[in-house]
Amino acid sequence: MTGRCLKSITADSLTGAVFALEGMRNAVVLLNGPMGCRFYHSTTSRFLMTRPLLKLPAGQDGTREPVDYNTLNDWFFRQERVPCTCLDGYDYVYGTKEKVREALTFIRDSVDLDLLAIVNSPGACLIGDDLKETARSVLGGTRTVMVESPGLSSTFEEGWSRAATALLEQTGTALWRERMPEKRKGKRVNLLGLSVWQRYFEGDLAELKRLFALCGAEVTAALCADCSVEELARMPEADLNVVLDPAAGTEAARYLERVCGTPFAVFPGFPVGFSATERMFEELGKLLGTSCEALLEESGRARALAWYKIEQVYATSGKPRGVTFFVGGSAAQKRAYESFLTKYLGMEPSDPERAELVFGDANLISELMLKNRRFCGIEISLPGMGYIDLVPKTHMGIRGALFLIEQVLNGLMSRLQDE
Amino acid sequence: MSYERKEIAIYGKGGIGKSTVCANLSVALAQAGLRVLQIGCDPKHDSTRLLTGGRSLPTVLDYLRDAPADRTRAEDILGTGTLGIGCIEAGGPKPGVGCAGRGIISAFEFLERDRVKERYDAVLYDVLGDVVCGGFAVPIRREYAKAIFLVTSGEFMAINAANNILRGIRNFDGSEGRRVAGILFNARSLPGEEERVARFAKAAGLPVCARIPKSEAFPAAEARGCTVMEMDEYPSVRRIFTELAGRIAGELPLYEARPMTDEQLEACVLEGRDPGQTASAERDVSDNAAERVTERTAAQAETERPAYRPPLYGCAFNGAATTAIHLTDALVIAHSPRSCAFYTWQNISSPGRRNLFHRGILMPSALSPNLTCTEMGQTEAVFGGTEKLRAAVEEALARRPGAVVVVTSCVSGIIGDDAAGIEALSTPETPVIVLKTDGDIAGDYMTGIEMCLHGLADKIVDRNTDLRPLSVNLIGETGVANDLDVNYGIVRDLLGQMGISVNCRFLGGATTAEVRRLPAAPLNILASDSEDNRRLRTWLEQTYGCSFFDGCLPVGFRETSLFLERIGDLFGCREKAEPVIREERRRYEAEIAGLRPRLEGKRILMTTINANMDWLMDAAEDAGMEFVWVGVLNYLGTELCVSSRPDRCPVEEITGRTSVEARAEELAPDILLSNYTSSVSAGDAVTDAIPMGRQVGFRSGIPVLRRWARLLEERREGEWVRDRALFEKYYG
Repeated sequence: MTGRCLKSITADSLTGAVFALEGMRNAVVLLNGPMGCRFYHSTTSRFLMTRPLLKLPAGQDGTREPVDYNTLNDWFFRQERVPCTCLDGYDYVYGTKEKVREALTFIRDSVDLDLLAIVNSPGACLIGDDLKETARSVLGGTRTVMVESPGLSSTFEEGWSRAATALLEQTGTALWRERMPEKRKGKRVNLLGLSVWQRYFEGDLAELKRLFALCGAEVTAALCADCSVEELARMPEADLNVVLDPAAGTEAARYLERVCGTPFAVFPGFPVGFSATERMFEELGKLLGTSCEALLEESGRARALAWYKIEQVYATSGKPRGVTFFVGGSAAQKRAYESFLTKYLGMEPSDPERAELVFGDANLISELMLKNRRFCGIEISLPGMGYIDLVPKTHMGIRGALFLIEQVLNGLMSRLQDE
Repeated sequence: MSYERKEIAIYGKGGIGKSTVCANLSVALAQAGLRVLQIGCDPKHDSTRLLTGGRSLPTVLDYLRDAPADRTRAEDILGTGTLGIGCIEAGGPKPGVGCAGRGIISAFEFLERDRVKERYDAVLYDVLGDVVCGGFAVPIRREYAKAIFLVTSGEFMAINAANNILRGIRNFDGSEGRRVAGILFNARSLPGEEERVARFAKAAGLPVCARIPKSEAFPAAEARGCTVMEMDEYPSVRRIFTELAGRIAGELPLYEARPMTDEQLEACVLEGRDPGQTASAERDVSDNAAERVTERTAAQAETERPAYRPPLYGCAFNGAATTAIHLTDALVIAHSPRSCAFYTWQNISSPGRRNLFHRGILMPSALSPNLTCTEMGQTEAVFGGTEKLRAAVEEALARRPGAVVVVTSCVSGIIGDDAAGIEALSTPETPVIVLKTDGDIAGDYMTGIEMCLHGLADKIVDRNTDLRPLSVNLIGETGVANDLDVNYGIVRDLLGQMGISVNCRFLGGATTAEVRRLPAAPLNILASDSEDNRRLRTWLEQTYGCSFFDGCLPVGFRETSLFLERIGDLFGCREKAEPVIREERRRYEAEIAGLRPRLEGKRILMTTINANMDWLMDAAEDAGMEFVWVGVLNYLGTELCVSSRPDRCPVEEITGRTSVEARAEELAPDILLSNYTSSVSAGDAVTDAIPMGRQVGFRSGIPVLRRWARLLEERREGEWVRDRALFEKYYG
């Protein structure tokens, strides 16, 4: 067989751009492209975060009824997320403006929204239509953002970065021009680089907000991560912008520094594990002038619990020390997970063919299963296998460290049965 | 003109002298004390040559192609010319390859990213001759040029090009914008040129901002590798640029772009008539010319545009790639950005992951498709991707697959890659087959499937293969449905019990060798009855003389019994069908008997597309259920065919006046069945979707009946149902 040794194909910058803007609350992202580019985003986005039902534009009495998706035929094709302009060969020659105008008009008249984003597909970004004017003429005062070139085959993070920065440049700046919020009492931060296209996005965000609160700081906005336009407007209030994923968030942080004068701190990877979490908040404490004593106290208790469980496994098996693992994911993910697994649990990095524990997306895990390998797969990125989460889970922060250890120990236990 | 930074675009016909004018103007502005940046936007990248003493600069696009993406800096491509003038050449691909327009977009994005313009007081864009596409129009977008000069001589074609540029500006600005600064008349000493330019300027409502004479000053400066502005001689020429620079540095009046129609232009420029006095616009006056052009352009666009182009469902690229992976020993190469291949990969692997997680079933072709990607990036979009494709195909051939199949994307199609030429890399052992789908330019998802099947058959099938008497081909199984392999297993077992084998699955999963021997089977069976499959059947009959079974893979007990009997007749083994049917009847009746107590008397209201539903209606009736009304979405306007028994229940075509909701309220069914799952509450009724993929064989309706039995018993019950109000409260 020739195919089975090929690498799985991962999402690129177009998906990064679409899901950055899909992370804005009550927003519609219009994909200016063929329907073939849309389907994945439409079917996936609705599962990424718990969203309110789309609403119709306000009636005369000001009420806003839920949209009946069955009436969203044009451009939406009865799916509530990521409508598209259905470009075809004709449009590539004669331009896409008319279709964009028609789609924008339909969306404007059919859905109540706070933000409308337009993202060009790879084909559309080649022909160079100037759609900002079209959007302006149709949408008037509605907040808009246009991503003309999300990048071709660039990384997911680059697409996310381009879209998030475009959002700040086009929408944020307009909001701040109307009213630049003033600094308020208390410490505030913005989070940059967190994406809804993360395996445990909702849990990650909740844990980070909880830990900041524990340290006496408030999260004003998590840019493009369940963020409202109102929160976007308040971003300049923050004392510090915290970049959680350098590849995704640094450009936005630089922009905010230039325009709003807000300093930023870049962390090399997500706070996965106790040490990374403690280090991050200690450093933030110094920058913000806040205390992280409560966090360290809670982390200590969590470490104690983890020790007890790990000790029980170690006493009977000598593990997790020396267990081989492989992490598949973005650079920030690899750094974060590998550091925790090697330094805290004493495990050893390996290639995917030999690893006993494989951390990655479901494509990687299922491909390895095809090879009849005996290993435990732990999902850290999308696509997932299909497990439906109700209790928000996370791999970040203190609760995340405990959940990750729980998965590792159970994964080891399942392997111990084989030995 | 009043703004902080002077951003000026210089447009005009190719060879008219734009670069010379631009370079002299840059120097004049620099001499006036402004910090000047000149950006050449022509793939020939010779705009700034006079400013750099003939020195060639690295172009932005060459640089972006070669430098690591995370280490690119504007300083590396920013040259410094005379008087500190910043010099940048956008560059572009070699003639005939790639997409120069996209190159301009990429170069401008890079310059914006590094905020190069912020270092200068004036930016001059020296742009290719005509606004041929969106890419070359980028400099006249509002965020770039704040003023636009048209360079023209007195020749008609040069004036025509200037008028065309006015059309481009008009498209951006409508009747609101005022960004045209005027005409720079580059004289050639031709008879009548002064008058022609004057007439054009008057008709377009524009001033002639400078008249640049034909002068030996320009060749003399060029010979010295500098601008006229840097020479001591030719003061009268220098004065022209100095005055122009002074006007730009001050308050430069700007005008609306008011292009003329072709007829008006000819009348005005060639015949010296008032452009209003033309046959096509008898009494119009020049003031209205621009509006007329706009209206006329729109009208032309309307006539050029097909009356209605229905949306393309999916793209041919995806259809072809998703089909091609079923050639199991082939390597499929997506010549595309990674995103296209990723969506195809997800399309294929999603059912694989679901089956693995929910049922523990491993579907190899779905979990690890034989698909790879050339990952076209900015470099390929600008400079062309054929070489990258060639390298990918050569790498694939080294792995000795049964075939290499290339599927092309929108990007490849738009930039005009010569993908078809790659077929020349075929070896005696391994054909290289290019499916030029060009994303959705070739058509929708189904078109891609057809292109794939035809393309593979054309290149692989051996017409002289030996006959395999007791075998059949299964035709048109293509898809990524969950039940593809389940259905194949059912058919193979049923036929196997009659001693008949499957020669080739075209293309539900076949090796290159199996496709090669396609003509060996004496009988071909369509997997399903669809327009696309019927077309495929006709094509195979006409191309390879294939004989087809009159029907397709059977769905439901009645169809399957008939199917086996007729297959038995065709192969002379009908006696082998009868025990198979007998045994299946016993199983079917046992299943129905088990379900009947839970389903008997239940009423079904169904909306469906116009397709035969006997398989489901038979099974439901066997279980004692009743169809109370069937609404048909007859998109194609063909004769209704949902049941072979018209008296079974009321069947009505759904039109704009039909209210399915009213029918449901009136008839109070227990089950509301439609082609998709509705998100709207159906009151007390259970809602269910008609399966897109249907299980073939005797027991087709059984899984659906089982699900209904469960749904009827397990309606939304419990406290959670009331909590929609809480969802609205906390998430609404």
